[in-house]
Amino acid sequence: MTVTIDLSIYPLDLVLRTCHVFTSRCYVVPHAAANGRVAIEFVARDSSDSLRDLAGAFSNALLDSHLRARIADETRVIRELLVAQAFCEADLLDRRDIESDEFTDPRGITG
Amino acid sequence: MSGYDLLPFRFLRFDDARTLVVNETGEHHFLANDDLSRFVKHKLSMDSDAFLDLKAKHFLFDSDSVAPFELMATKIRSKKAFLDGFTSLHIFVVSLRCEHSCHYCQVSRVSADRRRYDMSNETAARARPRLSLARTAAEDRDPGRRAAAAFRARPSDRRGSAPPRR
Repeated sequence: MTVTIDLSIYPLDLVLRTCHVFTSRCYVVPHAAANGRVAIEFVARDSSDSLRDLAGAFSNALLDSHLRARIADETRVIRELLVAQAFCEADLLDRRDIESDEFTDPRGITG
Repeated sequence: MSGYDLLPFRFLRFDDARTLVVNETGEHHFLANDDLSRFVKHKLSMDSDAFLDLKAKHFLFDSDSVAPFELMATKIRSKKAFLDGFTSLHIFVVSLRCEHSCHYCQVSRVSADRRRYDMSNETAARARPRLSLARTAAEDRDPGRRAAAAFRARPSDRRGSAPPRR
């Protein structure tokens, strides 16, 4: 079975990562295809496996990989801050808002 | 701040209806697939149980408070504390020969006449420097261990006296 992916939608790195999910079930061979596409060839490890659901499962896994990449990208700055704060001896968090006193207006509430 | 922002997490489809989400501190939660979809689109209702669960477990934040970050950083620091202390336990299994069957033992014992399961001298000779290397690396990073190492290495004429008490 071969599944063709348009690399203008999913980057190659993401496609290859998703291929790894299926290596326990299949032998997975990616080929370069025309028009900026990549063809992924799946060969069942078990001859009784018809791979009937594989195209759908691969498409869903690819979507999940894309979502993971999006979440990682969206939360990257926070993750780096958390790890830095965890291992750095200095305090990296911005506390101006919470450690102000009655004379300051850090959020500009009073205009 | 209006709405909410995501905190870092990973997810895995658990079954047809639920997704397992796990965050940086190891907290986990099973989320309905529909809720996951709403959650990542920042469209989860702030009154819903899913929202409150995810907030309590640090999958999202909805205020300017730094408290969640402090707590998460502390959890990450505790979780990864082994990195600072390097490997703290080394076990050299020099032989599997044993006549006992202690239930807590980690080795698969063999009878006393099976010498071929003994560690060879060559392996033992190669293992020892690894332990020294690990100890040196740990001492390099930890001032307490460094001080202890300096104490151990003090001139022999002072050995025998007790270390000064603080």
